[in-house]
Amino acid sequence: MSIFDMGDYNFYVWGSVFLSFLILFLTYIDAIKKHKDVRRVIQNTKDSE
Amino acid sequence: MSLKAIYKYGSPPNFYRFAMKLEPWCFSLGVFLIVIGTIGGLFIAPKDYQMGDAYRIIYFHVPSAYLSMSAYAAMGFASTIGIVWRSTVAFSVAKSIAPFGALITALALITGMLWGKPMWGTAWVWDARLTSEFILLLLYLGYITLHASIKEQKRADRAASLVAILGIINLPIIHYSVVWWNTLHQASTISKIDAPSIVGEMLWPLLVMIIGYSLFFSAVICRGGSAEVLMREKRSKWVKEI
Repeated sequence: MSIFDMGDYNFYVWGSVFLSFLILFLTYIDAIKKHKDVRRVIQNTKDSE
Repeated sequence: MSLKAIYKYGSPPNFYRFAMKLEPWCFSLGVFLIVIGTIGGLFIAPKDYQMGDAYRIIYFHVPSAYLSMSAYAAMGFASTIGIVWRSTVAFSVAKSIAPFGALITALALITGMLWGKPMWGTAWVWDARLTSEFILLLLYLGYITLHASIKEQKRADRAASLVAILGIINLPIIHYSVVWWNTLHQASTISKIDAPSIVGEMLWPLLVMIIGYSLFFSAVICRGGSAEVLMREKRSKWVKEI
C-alpha cells in the first residue's frame, strides 16, 4: 500500500494539505508583490524628479 | 526589551533594515520546519486508533487555528502601540497582519470543516468554538474593510485600530469556549504542556508545524510590513537613498 494512500480520507487529508500550502504560498507571493510594487513606485518618483 | 530598544526599532528606517535582514532567515527556517512537520505528520506519525488517517488534518488545522489567534493578538498589540505612541511602524505592521490573519483564519475554518465532515458527519455546526472562530474572521474582515473605506491614512489607522483592540476580547472566548460550553469541538490537545492529550510520536510534528507556521508568518509580516512602511515614508530622505 502506498504511503500516500489515506484510505477513505484521501480527499479530506490531501484537500487540507493542498489548501494549506496554497494559502501559505499566496500570502508570501502577495507580500513580495506588494514590496516590489512599492519599490517600483519609489523608483519612478526618483526618476521623475 | 528596554524602552530604548523599542524606540530604536520603532523608527521606520531601523525597522525596515531590521525586517529585511530578518525576513530571509524566518522564511528559510519556516519552510524547512513546515516540510519536516509535513513529512512527520503525514508519513511518520502512527495512525490514530479511532480516527484512522483523518486525524492527520490536525497538522494543518491546529497550526492555522493557533496562528489565527496569535496573529490577531499581535495585530491588537501593534494597534495599541500605534494609538499610544502614534507609531507609523506599529500601524503598518497591524495593517499588514490583517490580510494574512483573515486568510489563515479562513484556512483554520476550512480544514476544520474537512476534518469535521468525516468525523462528525457534518462540516459545520454553530457550536461555541466554531462560531467564535468565525467571529474572528469577521473581525479581520471588519478591520480590512474599515481601513479601506476611510481615505485619510491617520483616521483609517485609528478607526481600524479600535476594531483590532476591541476584538481582543474574542480571543479568550475562542480559547475557553470548549471549557465554558458543551461543544462538539474537542477540548485542547496540547495546551497542557505537562500532560498533553496526544502521544509523543504524534506530538512532535505538530509542534514543528506550529513553530514553522509562526516563522513563516514572521517572514510575511517582515516583507508586508516593510512594504507598508516604505509606502508611507516614500517622500522621506532615507527611502530615496535605498
